[in-house]
Amino acid sequence: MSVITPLGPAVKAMGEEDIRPEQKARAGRPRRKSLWTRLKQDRSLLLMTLPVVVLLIVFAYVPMLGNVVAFQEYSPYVGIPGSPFVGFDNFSRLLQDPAFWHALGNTLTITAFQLVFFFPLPILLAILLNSLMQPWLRTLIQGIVFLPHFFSWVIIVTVFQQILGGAGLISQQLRDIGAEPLNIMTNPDTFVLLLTSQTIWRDAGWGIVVFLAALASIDPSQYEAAAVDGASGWRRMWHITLPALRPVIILLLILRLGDALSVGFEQLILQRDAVGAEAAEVLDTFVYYSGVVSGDFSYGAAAGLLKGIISLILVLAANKVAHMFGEAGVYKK
Amino acid sequence: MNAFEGVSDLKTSRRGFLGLLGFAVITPVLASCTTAAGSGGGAGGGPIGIPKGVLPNYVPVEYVAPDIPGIDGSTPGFLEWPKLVKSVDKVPGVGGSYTAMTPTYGNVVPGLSDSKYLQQVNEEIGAKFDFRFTDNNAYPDKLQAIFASAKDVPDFVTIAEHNIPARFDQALPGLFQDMGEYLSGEKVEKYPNLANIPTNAWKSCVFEGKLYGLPYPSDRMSGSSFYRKDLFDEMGITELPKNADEFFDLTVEITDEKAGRWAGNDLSETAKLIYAVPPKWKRESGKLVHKYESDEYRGYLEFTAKLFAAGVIHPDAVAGNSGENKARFESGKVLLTYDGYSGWIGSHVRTVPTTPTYNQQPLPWFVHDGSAPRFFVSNPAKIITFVKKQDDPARMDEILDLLNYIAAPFGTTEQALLQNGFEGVHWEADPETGAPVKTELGLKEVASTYQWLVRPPVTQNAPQYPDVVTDYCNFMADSMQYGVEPEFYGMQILEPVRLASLSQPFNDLESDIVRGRKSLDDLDAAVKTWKSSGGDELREFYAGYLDV
Repeated sequence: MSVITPLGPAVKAMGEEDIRPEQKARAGRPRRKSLWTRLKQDRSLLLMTLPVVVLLIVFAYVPMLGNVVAFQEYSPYVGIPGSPFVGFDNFSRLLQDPAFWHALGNTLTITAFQLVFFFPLPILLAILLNSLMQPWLRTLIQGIVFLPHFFSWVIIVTVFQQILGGAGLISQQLRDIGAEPLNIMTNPDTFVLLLTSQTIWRDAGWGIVVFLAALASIDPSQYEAAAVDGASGWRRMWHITLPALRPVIILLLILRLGDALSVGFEQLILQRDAVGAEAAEVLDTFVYYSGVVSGDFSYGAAAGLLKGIISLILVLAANKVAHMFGEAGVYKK
Repeated sequence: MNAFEGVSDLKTSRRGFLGLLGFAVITPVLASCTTAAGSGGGAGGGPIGIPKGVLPNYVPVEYVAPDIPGIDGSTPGFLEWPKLVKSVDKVPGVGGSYTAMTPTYGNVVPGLSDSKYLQQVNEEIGAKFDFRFTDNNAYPDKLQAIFASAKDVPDFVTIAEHNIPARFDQALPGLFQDMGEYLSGEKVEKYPNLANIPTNAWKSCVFEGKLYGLPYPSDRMSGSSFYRKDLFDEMGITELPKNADEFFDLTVEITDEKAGRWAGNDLSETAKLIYAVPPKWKRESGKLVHKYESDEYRGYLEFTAKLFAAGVIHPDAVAGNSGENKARFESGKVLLTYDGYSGWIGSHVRTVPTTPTYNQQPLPWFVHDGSAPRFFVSNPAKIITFVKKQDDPARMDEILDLLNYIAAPFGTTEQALLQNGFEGVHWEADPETGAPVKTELGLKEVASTYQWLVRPPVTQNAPQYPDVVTDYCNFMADSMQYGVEPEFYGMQILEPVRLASLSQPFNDLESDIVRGRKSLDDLDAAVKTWKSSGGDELREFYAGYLDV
């Protein structure tokens, strides 16, 4: 299984070029090169990947071993070696826990909602921005929509509360004219809307980066040719812009599906009291409250592990679907 | 759009979805290979109660007589700056270096490298203390993290009673020093300032039958409902409520949404006081009744829900923002708030410079039906410091000398130094009274630090604010007649980890019921679940601690 990153095909091509013509001629027929030769041949590339591999091992793979506590009755004071193994006990408790199913249900609702109402926005925004002619205006708008990404959730929730809250700017204006104040920040029924608006305000601008890069790679002569042939603006977008963006869109969609069960943590904890756990409990907060807060680490780890497995299955399935439609997806065999 | 409809639709679809993944099939298989569910990790093991000879002897010393003496355990107050006496005649430290994890409550305290106060005090006491300040809100998470790796545990760990982590009984013997070896019985008399700490406070430091902790003696009244007397006077409100109905009417009267003024912050804690909700258990005809099952708890929830529904709670508090509670009260956006009783002085000191007329007062005690007022007194030490096991016995000797220095009571040079810092650097003497007035640097650097590790018996000493100290001490002295000791008063009982998480659902439920998202029927259902999933077992567990 070779991973095709945006760099992927280029890497392969370089590797092939590296084989010198005389080497090919001498061999006569394709000969299996020894491991050493191959290592030597790709040494610069291997060296370049080394730091990332080390980071992955230290920060992803080694901690992953800690997942073994999901099969234990873990106590931090006696450590992993001292904690008794309980098999699938924690998982069976988990699957019988209505709170877990409730958290999973909320997570999926939020993720489905955001897939429809958040995911397409950066694409639209990128296309819109790309069509602006004045570079200074484009940079200005880009800067403005980028900025909220760097705010922490505490600030964003506070800003929303100050403006839309029951004692906020709009509510006080409404009271002045004798109207009912807003009840957006504490209404569990519309919470998913609120969450999505906050996410859009914070991250839609940041999400356009990749799409802008993809748009920049479209050959302008294609537009010129289409314009000469009499294609309208809409037709040019439909037949040139969107097809050019398709691989990137699909790639990001698959990656998003892998993250489908992560719908935020601070954002939800901060607003938990406002709308109640019924609306704000998602898998990550469930892991926090049932595992960390209650000191039942094994139970939390089991929930986290299950979440990881479901995410993996989602990515694999989405990638498969992408292949069926003839797209590269995240990787290919 | 109704999101709940969306959720219920999803319930059916998610079963299909998971069935696809095969989990529905795995479930029964998993269930069949279940071993003893949730066993192990049980607390207990140690003897129940406090074995004889564990508690240190009590040898009181008094350097200055308080101007307002304590009555029935109320906090004594000092109105004048006394002539200081030296209580420790040697430099306690011999050059050791120590780390300590201590809390901050919303304030930012500069660390060792940036603080003249810490550097100079360290020099004075002959030991190097490096404090790792952690905000109280993040404390439980941080504790879990440092306990997971023994080598990261600082030499001193300060833990508030409510932050004691699950499975702490397993942490104690391996990580922390049994202080009884050095302080039990008459051994403490070698350290006069430690011997001056009352027995009740030491009781709170006994875990599993051993003296593991050092006390931070607390006011006998932990919290109170405060009102803005200055603003009440301005509005012409002189009658204070004497029952729940009168309180409700008052909140409606003082709320003026258009003016951006609401009656209170989240008044749940106030309602708990009005309904005299027991901290955990009460006894009814000899049987233990948990607070969740009690009428008091039910009454408090119903009443709080009524307050929320009437729109008298500040919308930001409704939205769950409690971090700004003090700010809203001090700025007059709300006129009622619940706060720790000792938070009174801090609010006063903070607000008076900008609002000279500022006057907060505790609401006189009353209960919902207007009958005889009562409240549950606070544990004698709500904050406890644990000392990490030391390899070197000489270090233990140094630690004990240092603790004796830190525990010096009001009226000693040691206490004055720790509380105020250095003259000319952190404070200047008031020309009239001689009391220290903090300089800008003093205000920035001098905060409770060393005294988290062990504190002398609690006193109220802020001679700069004699009026507040007088009100503070008099109100508490007067309150003592209503004080009731709750069941298991002052005892440290570590619940088995499996039962410790039983209360988790109630945190969310309380917030749901008071905001009208759930009803009292949901409370009944939750109590039923609580009983069957371990509540009755917890009752049995606690029954073992009765009458010890």
